Amino acid sequence: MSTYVGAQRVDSQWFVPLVEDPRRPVAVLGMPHAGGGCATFTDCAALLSPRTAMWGLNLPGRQARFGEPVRTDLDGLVAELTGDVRKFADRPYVLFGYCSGALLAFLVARAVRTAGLPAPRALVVASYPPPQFARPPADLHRLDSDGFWTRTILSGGFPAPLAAEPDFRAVFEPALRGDFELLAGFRYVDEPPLDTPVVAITGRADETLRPVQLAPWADQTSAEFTLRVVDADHWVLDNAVDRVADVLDQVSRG
Amino acid sequence: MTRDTRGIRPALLRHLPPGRELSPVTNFFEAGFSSARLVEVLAELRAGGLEVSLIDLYRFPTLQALTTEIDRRTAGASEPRPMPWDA
Repeated sequence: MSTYVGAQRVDSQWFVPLVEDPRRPVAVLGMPHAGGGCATFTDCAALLSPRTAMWGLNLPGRQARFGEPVRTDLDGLVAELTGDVRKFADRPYVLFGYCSGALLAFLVARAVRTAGLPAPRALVVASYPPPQFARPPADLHRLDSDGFWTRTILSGGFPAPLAAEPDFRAVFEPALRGDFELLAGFRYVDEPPLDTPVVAITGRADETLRPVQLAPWADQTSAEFTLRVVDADHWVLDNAVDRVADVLDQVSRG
Repeated sequence: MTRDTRGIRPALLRHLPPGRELSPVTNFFEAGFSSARLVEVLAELRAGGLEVSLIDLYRFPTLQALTTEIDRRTAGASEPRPMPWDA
């Protein structure tokens, strides 16, 4: 999508602006949870200060790119996303990963460093353990449709109002299954910590993750680390979006 | 049952995220509609008598595409079935 950041035109292949005028000084690049699309960050975008523009990762197989084949090669996707981040990197930007999108954001932050690009102002991660402890499901994407949905719904990973639609499997299964296959390919590789500040956000009432489990995100940065525990369950963008927007505004101020 | 597609635009606008705009060709998701928001739109469209499924909003993800598609189906449904000798 061709649009403007600051005075600069950005032809982003991968990110969609979620504010009407994205010519704001700081760009926050949001990467959604498994199965999620660019609109995951809509409500958060609306709460940000006028200095900060939210962009949502627009992966194929869902939402705006429904019907396109999903991406299941993690290294290839990270490389392409990093190529896209280059277009934002001459101005302040923030990487923000939500749930498994945190893993993607982290891998992009590392790849940005390897490529010698300007570092993001911060890496913000929400509702996900640090990569050295992340164990994405290895076999979920191989289950048949009934098994896949039983596991997905039981894990609390799917909203009830959507599951009430008769055709929800046809709408959501390609992206969810594809993302689980993408994540199943993750193997943690040791590298020196980033020199980017990291903020980890987690819900106090998250049944899948206790706040202490996010503490070792600290080992992924040689700069400042902050853990923000908010009043929410796992889905902090649904239950505590104002707090998340506050964090993004704070790190955007630098 | 009314099958008036003129209700689509107001239903979408009622659920449009704050500060966003929706042209006839804006992709719903790029305008900020999440799946949860679209399910709310869907309920209003059905209450207005339109037969729409969730996947329709994904396959025809603009105001223009959705309206055209539903008008097409409605026209198809009201036309008499073709007879063998019409072929």
